[in-house]
Amino acid sequence: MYIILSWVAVLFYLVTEGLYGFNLFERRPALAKLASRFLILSMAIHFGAMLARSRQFQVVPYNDLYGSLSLFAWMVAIIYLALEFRHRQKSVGAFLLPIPIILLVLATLLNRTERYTPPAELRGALFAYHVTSNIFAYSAFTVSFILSAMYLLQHHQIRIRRSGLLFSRLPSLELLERMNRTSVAIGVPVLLCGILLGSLWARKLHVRWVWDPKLVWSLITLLIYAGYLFLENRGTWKGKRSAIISVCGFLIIIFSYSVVNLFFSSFHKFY
Amino acid sequence: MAIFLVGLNHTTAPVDVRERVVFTSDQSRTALTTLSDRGLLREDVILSTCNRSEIYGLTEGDSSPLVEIRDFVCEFHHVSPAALNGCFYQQTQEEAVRHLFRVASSLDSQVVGEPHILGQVRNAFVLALENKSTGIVLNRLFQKAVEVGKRVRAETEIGSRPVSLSSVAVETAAKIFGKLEGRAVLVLGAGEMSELTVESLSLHGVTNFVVANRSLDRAQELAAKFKGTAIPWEKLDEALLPPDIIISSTSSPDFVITKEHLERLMSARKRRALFFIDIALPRDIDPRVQEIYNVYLYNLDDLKSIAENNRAEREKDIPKADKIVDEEVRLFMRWLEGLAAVPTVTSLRKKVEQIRTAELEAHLRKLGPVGERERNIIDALTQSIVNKILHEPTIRLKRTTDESERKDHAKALRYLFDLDKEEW
Repeated sequence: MYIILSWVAVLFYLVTEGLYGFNLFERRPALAKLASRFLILSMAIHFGAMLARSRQFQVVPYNDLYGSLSLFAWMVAIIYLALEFRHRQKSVGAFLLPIPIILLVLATLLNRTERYTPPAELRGALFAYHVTSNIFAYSAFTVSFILSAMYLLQHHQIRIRRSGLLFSRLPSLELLERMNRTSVAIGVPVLLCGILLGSLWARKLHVRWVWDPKLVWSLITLLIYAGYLFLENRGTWKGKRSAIISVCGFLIIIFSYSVVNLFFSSFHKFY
Repeated sequence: MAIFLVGLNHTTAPVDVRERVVFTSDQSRTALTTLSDRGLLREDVILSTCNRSEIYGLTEGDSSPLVEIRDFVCEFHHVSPAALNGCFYQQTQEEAVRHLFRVASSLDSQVVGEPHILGQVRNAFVLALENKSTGIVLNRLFQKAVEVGKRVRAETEIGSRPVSLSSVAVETAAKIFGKLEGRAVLVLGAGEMSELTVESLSLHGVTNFVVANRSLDRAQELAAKFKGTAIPWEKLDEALLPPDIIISSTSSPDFVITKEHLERLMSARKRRALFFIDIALPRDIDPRVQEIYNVYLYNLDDLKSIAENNRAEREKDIPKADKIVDEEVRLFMRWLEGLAAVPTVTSLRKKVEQIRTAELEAHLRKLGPVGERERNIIDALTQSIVNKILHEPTIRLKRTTDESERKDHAKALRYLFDLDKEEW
């Protein structure tokens, strides 16, 4: 059941992507509005799919690969939606939506339907908040990464004096910078909360304080993005440099998601 | 009856010829009236811009009034026919329609895609309409032309990329700063090119202009035009702190702003982005300023090459635009041919009515004196018979949707009732 719903959600996301893409070429307010409505609809279906799966297996979405990827995708979408409402600009949607689409497709393809019961220590509200806030923060940084990549691309177009299709469809540097700031400003406090909740939860389980590699890398990530906000705010590192910081931060996230998780981490498996 | 076009444009006539045959609004009115008074054209519209002077009209027969109209234009503008030799072109029917649609779509313009021609076509039509020079055919033709022009602009990229230097500069500024409203602009040197760029920026909502010029008078003049402020050249250093965009076109032989100079100011500017538009020759802005963080610089050559590229891009979409034009020409010609059924019906009715009144008169005479009432009854009787008989063929002819079939029917009707003796 949830598999079908997942694919339906993918389909709706694709339609949404098409509408946002079309809107880049034919700026019509009605079209842009329709795109946003379709996005909300797609996210509702996607949410339904996650809910159906949780009901069926009695699991929270983040206990396995499907769950965490799918939740990640959903959160990227909702952060984009928040940015769209905050900045009243729809020109970024076409570039950002492929991320949740790819994530959801991957999640659905990699899905395994066996029943999985997590050990007792991986349950409880505190743990749930810890995991969701971390995934939420990483989604915000993913959005920031895409915006930074767009910024660097547009910056390059202006520098090489190329006024082609890319130049005309990519939004202005100013807007990209502004949206980027917003998404990092969402991500930093949420990640901080996530790390704190994690350590609280560890203490509750009476686990001895360990410098888990994953924790170390999360703190590094946090420092990088906090640095971004600090330097951006002071005005010394506006524009291109802050975009580069954001890209670096994202590379570290990828690193800690993959290498650290697989080889070094003791208890962080999927996130 | 045929749609007819005669005119000259930027490809057939040099500017010194074109400027001698431009029709002002008043001249257009006089000329339109004269052309129809002389019986040269039944409906007419004059489209006159700096790139073209064209007369569109509806001819009576099949003969081409090219020579008469050319002579009229020469006489009207006091130009010897020899001076206009080889400048005129003429088109009829479908080709004339296509020509107008292409003109309205800005496909025939010197700068393909330039936006003004559509308004000029509309104005030419409105002027002729108010002058009562147009009729059913040209009204529809020009309304369609305006629609086609809009459609081409909406569905192709022909008008979407800036091709003038000032609009390229404005577009780039918008890609750096987003909305330009509220941005601060500093203008160095008060030349004509600065003025053009300032004008484009002000059309995009920029209101904060500061002008610095070696002669303060000229600075004040330009500043007043765009409600900006003028400052003396000596205060340049302070003036470099607030702006987001700096337009420079002084006649200074050396760089007005060097890298070292600007570097000292950037921290006071909080490293906000700064966009230089250097349109001076020789250049005003040291090209090395681009090495400074968050500083962008476009010079005259950059703007020119982008404008050139955009022009080439526009031209790539010409085939797509022509396809739209072809489609609309076909639709228009179908309508025009459908119009051909109307005269057939009219002349059929006219002929039958002539027969009826003639016969009625003749037979009433034979009948001798009859009262008013009887006379009316007989008149109504004949009218009723005629109407009943003509009802079916009229309806059937108008109802036929297939074009060639309708033509066949009309032809048969014209032959059987010998309608072609009358002009239509």
